[in-house]
Amino acid sequence: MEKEVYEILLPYQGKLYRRIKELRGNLAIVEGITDVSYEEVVRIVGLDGKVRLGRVLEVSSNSALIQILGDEEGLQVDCLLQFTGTTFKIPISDDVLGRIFNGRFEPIDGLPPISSSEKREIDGSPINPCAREYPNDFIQTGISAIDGMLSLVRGQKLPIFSISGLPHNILAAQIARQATVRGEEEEFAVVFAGIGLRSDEAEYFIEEFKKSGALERSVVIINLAEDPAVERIMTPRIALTIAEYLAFDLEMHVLVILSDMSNYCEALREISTARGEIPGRMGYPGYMYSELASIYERAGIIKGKRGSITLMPILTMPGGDLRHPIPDLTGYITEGQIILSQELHARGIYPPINILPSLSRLMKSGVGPGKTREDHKYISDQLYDAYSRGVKARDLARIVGEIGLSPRMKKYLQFADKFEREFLNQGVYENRSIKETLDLAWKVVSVLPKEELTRIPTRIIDKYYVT
Amino acid sequence: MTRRVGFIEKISGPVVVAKGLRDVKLGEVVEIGKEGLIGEVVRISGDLFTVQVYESTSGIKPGDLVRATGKILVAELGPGLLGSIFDGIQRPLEEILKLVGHFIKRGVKVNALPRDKKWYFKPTVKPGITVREGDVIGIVQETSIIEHKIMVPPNIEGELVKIEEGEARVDEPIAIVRTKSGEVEIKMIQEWPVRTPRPYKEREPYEVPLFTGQRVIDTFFPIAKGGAACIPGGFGTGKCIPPNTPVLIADGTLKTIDEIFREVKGGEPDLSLPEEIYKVTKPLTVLGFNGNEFELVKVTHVYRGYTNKIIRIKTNSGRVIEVTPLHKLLVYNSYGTIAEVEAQHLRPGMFIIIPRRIRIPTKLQEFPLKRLSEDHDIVSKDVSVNEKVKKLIYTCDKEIIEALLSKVKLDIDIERLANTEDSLPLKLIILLNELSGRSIGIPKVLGIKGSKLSIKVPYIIDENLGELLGLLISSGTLSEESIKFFNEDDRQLDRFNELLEVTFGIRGVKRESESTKYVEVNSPLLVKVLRALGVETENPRNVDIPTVIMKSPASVIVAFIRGLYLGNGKFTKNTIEYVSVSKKLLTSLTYLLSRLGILYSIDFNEERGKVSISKTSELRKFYTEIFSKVLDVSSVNSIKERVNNLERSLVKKDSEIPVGALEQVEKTTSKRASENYTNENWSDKYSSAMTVLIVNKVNRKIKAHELSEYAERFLELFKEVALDRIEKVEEVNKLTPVYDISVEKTHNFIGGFIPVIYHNTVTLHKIAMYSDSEIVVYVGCGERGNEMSELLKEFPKLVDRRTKKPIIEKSILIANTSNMPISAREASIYMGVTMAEYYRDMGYHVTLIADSTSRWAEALREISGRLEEMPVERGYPAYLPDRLAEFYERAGRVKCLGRPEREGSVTIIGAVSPPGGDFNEPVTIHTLRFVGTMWALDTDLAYRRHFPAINWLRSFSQYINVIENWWKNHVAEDFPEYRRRALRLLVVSNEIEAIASIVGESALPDDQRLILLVSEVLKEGFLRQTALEGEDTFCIPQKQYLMLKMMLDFFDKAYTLVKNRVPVDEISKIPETFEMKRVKEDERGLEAVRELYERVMDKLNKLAEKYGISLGVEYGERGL
Repeated sequence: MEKEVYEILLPYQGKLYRRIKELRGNLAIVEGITDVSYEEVVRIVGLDGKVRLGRVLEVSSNSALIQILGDEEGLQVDCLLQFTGTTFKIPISDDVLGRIFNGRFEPIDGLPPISSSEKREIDGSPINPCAREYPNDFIQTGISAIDGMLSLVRGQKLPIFSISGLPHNILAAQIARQATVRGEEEEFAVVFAGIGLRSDEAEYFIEEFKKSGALERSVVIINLAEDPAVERIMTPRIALTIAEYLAFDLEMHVLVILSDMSNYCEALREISTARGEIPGRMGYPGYMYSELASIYERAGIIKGKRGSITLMPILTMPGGDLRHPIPDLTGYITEGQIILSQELHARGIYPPINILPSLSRLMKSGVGPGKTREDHKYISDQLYDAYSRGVKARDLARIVGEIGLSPRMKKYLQFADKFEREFLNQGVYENRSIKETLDLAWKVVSVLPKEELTRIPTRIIDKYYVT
Repeated sequence: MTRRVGFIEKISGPVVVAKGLRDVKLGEVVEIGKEGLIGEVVRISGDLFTVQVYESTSGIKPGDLVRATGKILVAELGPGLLGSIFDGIQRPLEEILKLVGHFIKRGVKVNALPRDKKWYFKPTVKPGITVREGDVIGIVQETSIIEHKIMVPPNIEGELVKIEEGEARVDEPIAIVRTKSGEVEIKMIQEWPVRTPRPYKEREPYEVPLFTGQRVIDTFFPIAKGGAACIPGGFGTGKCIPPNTPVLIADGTLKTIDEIFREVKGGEPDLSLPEEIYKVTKPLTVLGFNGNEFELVKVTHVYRGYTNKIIRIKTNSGRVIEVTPLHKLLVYNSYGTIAEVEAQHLRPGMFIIIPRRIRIPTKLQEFPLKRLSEDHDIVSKDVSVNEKVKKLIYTCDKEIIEALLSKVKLDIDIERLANTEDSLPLKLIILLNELSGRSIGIPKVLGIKGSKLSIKVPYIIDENLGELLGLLISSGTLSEESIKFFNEDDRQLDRFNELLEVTFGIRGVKRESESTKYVEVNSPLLVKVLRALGVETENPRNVDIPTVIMKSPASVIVAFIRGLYLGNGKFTKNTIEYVSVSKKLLTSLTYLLSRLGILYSIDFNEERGKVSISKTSELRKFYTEIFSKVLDVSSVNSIKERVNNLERSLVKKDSEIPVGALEQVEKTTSKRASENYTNENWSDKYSSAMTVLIVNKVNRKIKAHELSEYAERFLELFKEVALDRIEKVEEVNKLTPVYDISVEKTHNFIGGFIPVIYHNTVTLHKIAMYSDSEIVVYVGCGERGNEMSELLKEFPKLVDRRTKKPIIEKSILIANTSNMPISAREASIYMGVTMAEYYRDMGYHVTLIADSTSRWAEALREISGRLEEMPVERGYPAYLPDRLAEFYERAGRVKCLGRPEREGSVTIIGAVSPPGGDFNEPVTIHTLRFVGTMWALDTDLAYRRHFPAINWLRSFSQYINVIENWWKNHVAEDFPEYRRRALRLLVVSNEIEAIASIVGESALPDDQRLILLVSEVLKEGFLRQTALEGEDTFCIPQKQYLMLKMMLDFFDKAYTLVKNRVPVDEISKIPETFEMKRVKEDERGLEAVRELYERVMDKLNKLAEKYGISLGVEYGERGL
């Protein structure tokens, strides 16, 4: 038996050790070792002959704390450890396109693993702030609410904050399907990382990609809910390492969708707890912000390179609570957020985007004359303003009745209804051009008299107002 | 110099432990591994030292070398800083880009200042003079707008022997100074340790505003040059407790929180306001828990708000705690640390921290003679005292005595007083004592006027009196004439008599009725004395423990409790209970027990409640503390026996240990424990909740001696606090006013019906902008990469208003995006402020923008966590407030060192982005203590695209008084008046809007509609300022003033019109009303406002004419 185990490890290089001192969940403490580096990758082979990967989390002169990736069940303290002498790297080549992998970067589509001499560390390095190009190319998603009011630009990171049960995955798939940069025929390559997804959710994405023919320009990495939590830590990093390769080596425009980042954070908490670290807010580790930043900040554009990474993390807010650490910390790193609303969903509006708390911080750079249309910024501000008044009027009407509203408030109420029914609401396969979206916006806003449009210069009003 | 090299022992994230360098200094910069990663020594312990590494440590091994550089972290200062972009440790990012490409690789070393560039140095002094530190010896034109002054570096003084004009690199000598210790070369470059403030001659007062060109800031919430401001984002709601919650005051007494509020406010709360906050002026001290022990802390503010939801928490010990959902309680988590958790996140099974022993410095209380003296019937029968008084009266002027008597309102004939009476009014004696500095003495015998009865009184509330009061309160009654004390035990009745005898020199009569035995004392005088002591037994529901007892030291409390329990305690099997119908009494009793360090549980229902003590350890403590000295009383004997029995069958496990923890300790540590603690019962020695911590630490392989250190520390801690398991958490929906107090230092206080540690509130705050300062240092710490790149893209394009040159020529940027190494983020703000101070020393006005200090504090927290330091609030290290203070204190307007005389300033604007928009978190709370201005960002305004989204109702500026003077002298005399009226109008309109949202705007009277109209003009036309380009990007002070004047003068005239029945619609119809909202963008600037002003006034005058109203020449009637 032991001999077999040695044979398994024979083809690889690295120092061999036998015996783990202590096994605790997916953490292993090994003593009596030397020459191990921080974050080094370890192969662990149990007497059952299974090879598992591990990563060094903490190391001192004669002991190391190892995080076991993959299935730790069945592992005994008596096992072999092979310290590979390198940190975690994945082989990378353009063969990755069209492929489906698991959270350890092993193919699960029945095709052989990627073989390449080009190996990349999955942690990546920070982009030099001076090397960053400021994102300013408008991405048309064909969804009015996003294009019109929360415009996405190339190189942006814009998360979808959702609540379990809302159609965030359908929305993400629609964006992946429809996203184009105006004026350029080129479509986006999509890197999809499913983190702790249910298999039907994962299946939905793969089906959608297959159906629309997008799979051949996509890379899918799936860590299912039943897969080990530790792998969830690596899944988004593998996805982004591939994305960086596609964007900055192959110069493609890449859209990365990470769903669902809440599962990532849960895994982070689980591991932190197992390590006995001092917990921060709600038990999440204090370094969660840095961890999330090291993932999200890999989006962007580099000066002098044609490619770009646009990132769309999806996260379900536990209990719909915006102040929960996961959406909260995410919001501090990403450039805005798209928030889905249960209320709109219940009223049958798709996509159920609650415009008021949603925001795209980079919108201002992606819209306007030459990019979309001269009226875009103004009409968008006006829609926000009017809709927020409309919603207020609706609340008021609930108390005093619609009759109690002033004629002005009634107009706003009328506007809010029309806005939701006609502007927000659209079909899952409906792809509206930016022109259609803006014209629709004017149609909706023209419910209000011209004098109410204080956010728009008169010149623009005169040109676009629909009488 | 010898090579100083050590090697790595352990690596955990950015924290590396190394050894082998005995002479390493704290703060010394070291280089690690082959790549030479830069780090700073943050801790030295014996042979080991800990390094905080500024770069990713991935792939570093134990055994790798650590080279000490002998330097501490310094900033390079000299020409070439302006226009540069640095990372957190002053490496120029552009250079790194050229060197290693788009991604930042580790171990890159680049000089902050370019060494190859030549600067043209022009001396401003001649050789032969004496120079000392700070003296300007020459200039370099650093950028087209900034002249860089070359100053003599610190600690150099001597004769300037040589100085040369011409081109030089920063590290080439440009001058030579002959000092006492030889000749020193002066270069353009100098170094300064970033964590040390640069010296200056003296601080100067804030007088000059820093103009940002943003009207809402400059006019309403200005910041002074040299001041500090902060900008918070988002909003939190109050974290408060219900009105009748008692709070423990430092003298030992309890006061309900609404009572405290009323006292501070000096009146009733105004419940029509959504919230109120008042500063505490008279000293008010409460007790807070600092993470280790209780300490006295000052209350700074009181607050009242509303909530519609209360969280009610019930615990194992019977505590019922009611707080708002966001209010935090201290929770002991399974990691052995104390965390603050919002009430809404508490779940059954969690352990909250409760005070075990509350230590309050107290002294023996004086007998309340003064209160007794209010009763004119009480007289002194103390012969020696009375004699002294009489003597005094004889020797004194009659008139004086008469005046005195009338002052105390005693209607007595002096003759009689001095001659016949052997008893003198107590009030008189008290008064004379006060006047004469107590020379007369305090009477020891008191009587009642017209009666022969007399009693002895003690000077102080001693143990005997304490015990007597305890007995009386538990089972005595007072009537007008007599006192009765009931007890079945004869010895107890005797004891009562004995105590009466010792204390008051009288005895009662033992009596027996059908069902009860009692002692009766017929003495109206004693009744009065007892009432003055605070004994009140009339309404059993209102019985309370006298405040004199609450203020007394432990010995008296012990005696009191002894009396209380002997009087009416229930001694049942394994428990000692005290049952009462008075909730007040039980509340006070729990505090007294906590003062003695005895744990108890409580059970309250509608009718009655009980406090019970049942744990073995607590029973033992109760017995030894309270009853061990007592004579032979049957109930006590039974406890004694029981305690002795219990001792024998002592259960080792205290129930306050989290369930299963002890077993876990025994299981996982038995081996280690037996190695280290062979001679003791380990779990007994370290019983209590810190066992969990030990499990945790043992698991993390902490060495034996460290383990015992931890254990000792926690043993100490759990002398002060105990744990209480949450049994039930429920939400109660009701609209109710809630209160809170803010407390210095600990930010928590003890209060509640049963002592609990409450966390407290403060207020809120965010923003950043370009201003009229001469140098801008922008520190982006933990910022988004794309935002940083926007800044890097936009900055070079921005044009300085005065010089018309790119702003980048007067700026230094520090970029440490959120994914860059955490330690460098920590260093970045010091780096920034050191560079800011350097330019200040040249005589420039510098603005430093730190965005965001919350991210910086988080870096501090992360590193602290890796260093395994004990966290305090929310995991932040205890030194967080000190670090914040150190940072903000580096702001200031100063006279610079050296000649020529010059003045410079550093203004710090810090953005705070509290997680969850919660302003009650430590970073925000502490920041608010150190800044003078807060700009409160309002998400609601942001949703409505009203920028700058600064809430005018919530922001504040403490510089306003000094800055108003500047406006008065430089812009207009009546500016302060306009400012105040505009703010007032905004506040009033806010109230009117609230009404309008209910009744509808059309239902309002015309004058209120006018206020709404004008406030809309103010908000749209004045406060809102979105423009990124054009006229409205920077609004000059004169224009700000004129706009404000226009809007308010418009209001005044319109108000007169409305008062004279001109419909408000007539006024709102005037096109100029609309134009006032847009005039800010008019390219003609000030001229356009002036022109519009004339037209507005003209239109209103015409309207007045139409309706036949006279408007006066200057102003209309003032509405506000």
